[in-house]
Amino acid sequence: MQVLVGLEEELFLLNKMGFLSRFSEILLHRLVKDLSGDRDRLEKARKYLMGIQWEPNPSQIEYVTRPMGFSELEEAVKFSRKLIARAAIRTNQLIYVGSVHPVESNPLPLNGTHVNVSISSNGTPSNKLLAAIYMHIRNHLPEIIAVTANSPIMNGRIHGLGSARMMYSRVLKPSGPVIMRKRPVSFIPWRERSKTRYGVIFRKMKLFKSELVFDPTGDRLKEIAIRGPSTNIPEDIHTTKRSSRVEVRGVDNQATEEYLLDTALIIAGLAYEAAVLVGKGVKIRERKNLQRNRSRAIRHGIEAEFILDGGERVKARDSFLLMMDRIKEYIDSIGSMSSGLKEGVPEIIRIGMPEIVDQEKFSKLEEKNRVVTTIRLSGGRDGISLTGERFHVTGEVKGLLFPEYSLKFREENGIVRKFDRIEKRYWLLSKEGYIPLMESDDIIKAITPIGHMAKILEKLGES
Amino acid sequence: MSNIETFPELIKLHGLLSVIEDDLADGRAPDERILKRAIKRIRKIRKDENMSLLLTSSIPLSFLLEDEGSEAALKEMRKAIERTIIMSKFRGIRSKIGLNRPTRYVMTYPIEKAAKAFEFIEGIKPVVLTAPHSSPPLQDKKITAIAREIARISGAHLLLSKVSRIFVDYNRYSSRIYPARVFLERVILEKRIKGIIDLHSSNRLEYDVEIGCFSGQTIPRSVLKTLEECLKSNGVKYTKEGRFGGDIVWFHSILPDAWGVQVEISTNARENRVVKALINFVERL
Repeated sequence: MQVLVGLEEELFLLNKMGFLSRFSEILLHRLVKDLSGDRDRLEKARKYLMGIQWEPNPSQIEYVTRPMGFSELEEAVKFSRKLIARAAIRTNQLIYVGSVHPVESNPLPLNGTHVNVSISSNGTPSNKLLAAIYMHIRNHLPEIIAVTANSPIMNGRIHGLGSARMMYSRVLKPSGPVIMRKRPVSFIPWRERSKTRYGVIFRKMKLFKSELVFDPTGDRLKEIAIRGPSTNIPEDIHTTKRSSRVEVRGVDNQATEEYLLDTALIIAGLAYEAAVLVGKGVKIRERKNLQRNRSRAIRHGIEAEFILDGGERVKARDSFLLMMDRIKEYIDSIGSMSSGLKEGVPEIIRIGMPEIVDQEKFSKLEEKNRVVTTIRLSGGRDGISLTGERFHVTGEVKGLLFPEYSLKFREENGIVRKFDRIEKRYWLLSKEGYIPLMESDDIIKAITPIGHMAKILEKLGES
Repeated sequence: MSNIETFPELIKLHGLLSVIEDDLADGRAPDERILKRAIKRIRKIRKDENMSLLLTSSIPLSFLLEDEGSEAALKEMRKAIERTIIMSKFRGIRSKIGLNRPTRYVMTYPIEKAAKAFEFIEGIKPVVLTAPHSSPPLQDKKITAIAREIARISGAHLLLSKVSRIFVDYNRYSSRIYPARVFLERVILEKRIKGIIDLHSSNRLEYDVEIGCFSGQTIPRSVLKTLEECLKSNGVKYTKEGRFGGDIVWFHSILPDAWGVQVEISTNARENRVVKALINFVERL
């Protein structure tokens, strides 16, 4: 049995202070220039990578590996991350391998990892096998999501052990069970016209072509999808049979290569188990409570509690370990695990949460957009004018409330894996300049900018 | 409530504010019923999340610092509504200025450093030149020298960035809270600036100059015509297509008080011709 795995990983570009840097175009320009003069690296890039893709946000970039045996994947991932990090350093940037920027993802931009897996004995998986792999992995999405959830801080606040990315992403919709349908023609909805101009496609040669359908409109932007010409996905209509695979998109980025590779290995192990089940003639049906467990995994991550088919409750970690016991033999036949996932310890637990230093009182106001504020300062202090001079201020001040962030992180050869400390300090922009705020200051009044408009009119009436 | 439903409310609010402004200009107390109707419309708009986002993003910072009951604030408020009306019509503006949801101002560069991260050279003409990408690395090539030359000869005010756009991009929505942008807003108000010319350069242009004015939303036709004449007479090839402009032009220009135009200069263009054309333009204003 041949098992091929391919990875797509989206990365953030950062400036040297740890904030998003919007220069993916300059980075790729540099990368092409570097590769043109380095034959060895170029050959390696061609061996491991399909290419590097744009993302809608210019502070993101995505590398896509070729499908390969698991033994090659480690080298491919390390090479790809290094390749992009090298170009990032040369353009005064860094890469961050996280799913969510702790301050600037609000909730977008978001990163994710897509694991593509294909199993066959002759290089081309049958439709029946693809459907079984899809259904089997889909049945275990709650366990996969729970152990890979890795987006603990968003917008400067703790989000928890759940997956912020899965919660807020607009392109990770839940997938449906797959059905096999036979029809001589395909209908492409109008909204998919940018992918292919055909509205109706007449299949050639065969009167009836079997089609794998997991979404009636052929939308591939799901947490798990079947890809290839056997589906009703408009973009895949002209692809080859050999490209048929199952794509798992509901995986948060893993900071370390060990966790990333082990995640891919677990998904490959599940695919292998599905192939074995197909061989035994087992029909894979949707698990009971799948959607409820999926939602729980997204919300609580490893701390989720799943509902079993019989209604009993089980901790996400225990459910994951049960699954691991079952698929261990398949995993061992593909590769070996090296991260804490072996023991059901997610990366977020292993590397820990960043420390957050916040001024809660002001943070709450900002969250409600009540940023037009009057504050009574607890003591005299120096402010900074627009041109950098100091001025002394005391008593009541009026202005616009906003946070100033500073980030602490470790960087290794241009790669940032984790933020250690996120410090949020509030300031008031007044007519005189910027005034630092302290927790001991009193909030006299706080309204939203639009509320300020209404107040101005009310006061005009009174006067 | 959706944008479609609240859009008429916005138009009506604009009309009501004009009436209140006229009353105050004539020395009359504003009609209480009109004030109440205006407040009611503001509250309706506040319920529409999308429209609130656009309106909040259009409010000048100086307005938020004004005291309640201030008459000057009324004008600023009306300007914000005008800007929101245009934004409702042209959805592409949001992506061009980097406006995210929800709108919030966040400082990602230390304030102490940010206050020293720009240079302002005072001029004598009611025009301000800005070069938000003038500091390395990833600076717009040659733009500092070009901007300085135009300002020196024409007498325009000049604001140069002293921080790389990797850290702060002054031409994005998120930078409005930074000292350079607040300072620019003050200069425009206090020095009664009539026009903002936002200078950039690129090595990937088909023409010598690309003009960005949000499809004519930020500059009067007559001023644009003058700019075109100056470019033509100096043999500079230009286009008005393609470039939209950025947040400096969008946020700091409000017609009829102040117009704004982004001028993107090709690094392959003959520099002296472009400089001469822009000097002529400033001098003719």
